[in-house]
Amino acid sequence: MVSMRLRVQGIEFSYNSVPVLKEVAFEAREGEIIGVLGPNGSGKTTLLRCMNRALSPSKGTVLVEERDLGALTRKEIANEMAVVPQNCIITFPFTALEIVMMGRNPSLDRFKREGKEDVEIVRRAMEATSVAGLASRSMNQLSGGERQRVIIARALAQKPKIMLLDEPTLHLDVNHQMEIMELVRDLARREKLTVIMVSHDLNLAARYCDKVILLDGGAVLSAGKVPEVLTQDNVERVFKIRSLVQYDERIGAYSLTILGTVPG
Amino acid sequence: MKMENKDIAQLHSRKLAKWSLALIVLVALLFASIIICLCFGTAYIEPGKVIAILFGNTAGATDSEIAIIQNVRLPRILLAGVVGACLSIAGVALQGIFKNPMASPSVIGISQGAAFGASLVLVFGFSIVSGDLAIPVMAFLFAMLTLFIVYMLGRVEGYLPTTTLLLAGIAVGAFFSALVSLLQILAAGGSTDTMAQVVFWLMGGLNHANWDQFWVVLMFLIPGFLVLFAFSRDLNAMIVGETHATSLGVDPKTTTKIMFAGAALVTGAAVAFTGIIAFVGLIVPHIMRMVIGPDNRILFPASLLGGAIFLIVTDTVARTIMSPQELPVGIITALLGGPFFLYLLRRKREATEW
Repeated sequence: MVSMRLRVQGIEFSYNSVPVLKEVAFEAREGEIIGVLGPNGSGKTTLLRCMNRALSPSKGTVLVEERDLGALTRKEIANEMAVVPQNCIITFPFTALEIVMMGRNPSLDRFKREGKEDVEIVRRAMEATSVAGLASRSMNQLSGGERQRVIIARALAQKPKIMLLDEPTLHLDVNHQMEIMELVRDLARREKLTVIMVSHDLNLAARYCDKVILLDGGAVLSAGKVPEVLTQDNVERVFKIRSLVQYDERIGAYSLTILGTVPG
Repeated sequence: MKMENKDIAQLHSRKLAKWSLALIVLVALLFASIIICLCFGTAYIEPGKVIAILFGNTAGATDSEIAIIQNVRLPRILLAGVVGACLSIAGVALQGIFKNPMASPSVIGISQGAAFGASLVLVFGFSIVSGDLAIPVMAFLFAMLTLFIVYMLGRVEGYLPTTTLLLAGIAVGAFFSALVSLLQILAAGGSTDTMAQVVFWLMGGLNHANWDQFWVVLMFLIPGFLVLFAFSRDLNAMIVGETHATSLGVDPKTTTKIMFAGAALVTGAAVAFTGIIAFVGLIVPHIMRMVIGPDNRILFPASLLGGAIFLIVTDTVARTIMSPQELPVGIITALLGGPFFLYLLRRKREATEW
């Protein structure tokens, strides 16, 4: 049996004593893309934040290659796991290169400057995400899609085993949504990255994720392969829409068609 | 691809070279401004003579010239230097934490809070420590208190929008300014010096400068700077956003506390002896950021040096422009800072939506 890259075990989290996550558990292998789906308020983002311990879960553990993240420092966690947050609006004119270079922070001592290897890692990360040409541009001058790629490059520069993406395609044009998802899939395959991605977009998730986790009211309703999870019943129950998942020969992937809303 | 490879390494090394150059230029400018400003005053003293006196070669100088340089101008210029440095690095820290270029010690009311703390010692002798450090320590504690008040008042769902930040700062600043004036008037009991004292605190001035004050402020500046500088990379990550910072292994809460404590420490020390010299902490970090970029690892040392130069020069203007009448230096910095503040406000509104 292949050893698991990531094990999330019985995560619980409450906000003001209202339970937000209830015994969430799942596992992921290297190179896998896992989609975390669910309506607003189902606990998707909270789950991501518990995974990298931006929030401390009240119960449960997150194991990366059998190491408990709860026992690691923030910096050590950042060496295992990188996050691509939802939005990125920067007040001051940092360049794309400076932003990607920040990805080296967790590996550097407080007063140590970035060395040759760090510059090399950053260069590779920027090439892998096609943002090398934007290196000297200020983040504020970049488009939403370009900014997102720069943040993904920064996450890569952390040399993580796991990448957490929070709605990576939010506010992007349709072509840029595709571009980001193709990039993410590429990276997962080439760099053997395990990707955990929170998404609103059922269709993109069906198309690009190897597995999906459907959250409903903070608990896992169903987890597994796309057609097993995004069944008509499940989708109707969680999202209040009628839908159909089919394997589409033309794109070589699953696609989800929304048939209509559920009355009432 | 080969081109880009070279580009990224080159861009990075060019940035570091630019940092070194900036520091060298600023150090040179600092020394130049000290020497030049030592020449000016009620009586002009030639640069050659000034340098000779500084190096202890008093052969060609009169006793009064030596006394003017050593006991009057030099302590005042050095005090201006450390106070300018304090206010500027506090500005860098606050702008970073608030993610807002409009933040500075005087704009958001911390200087006013510190001035109130200092006034408590001067008027009532009330302090938690005694001796020379009584005033700066109380100024520091009240700077810290004010900072937390403004932060709590202005924070909206984890963010600090410009409007609420400025409004909270104005309200808190005005409140403490009024208390400072009240205390000074109570203390003077209606003597003619009263208004002079009030003006001194509210406009800021270096006219009572002496060596002791310089050493005390320096004693606060050094640890304050070191702490802020040590966390400058963490502050970079914080500017991108708290979620980003966490993802990069930075603890946002710790960084915020460190920045607040460091900024309050140096602001308290500066305000304790010179009152509220406005806008220095706004102007200097902004100019430095335009010249050298937003990376706080260079912004702290560059603003330290730039702030020293800025206040040394403006104070020399303040004490010579209407000679023999001296102006409070705060008038000069406010005359420069007011329009600059408006320029920032307008420019920001055009650039982004906040």
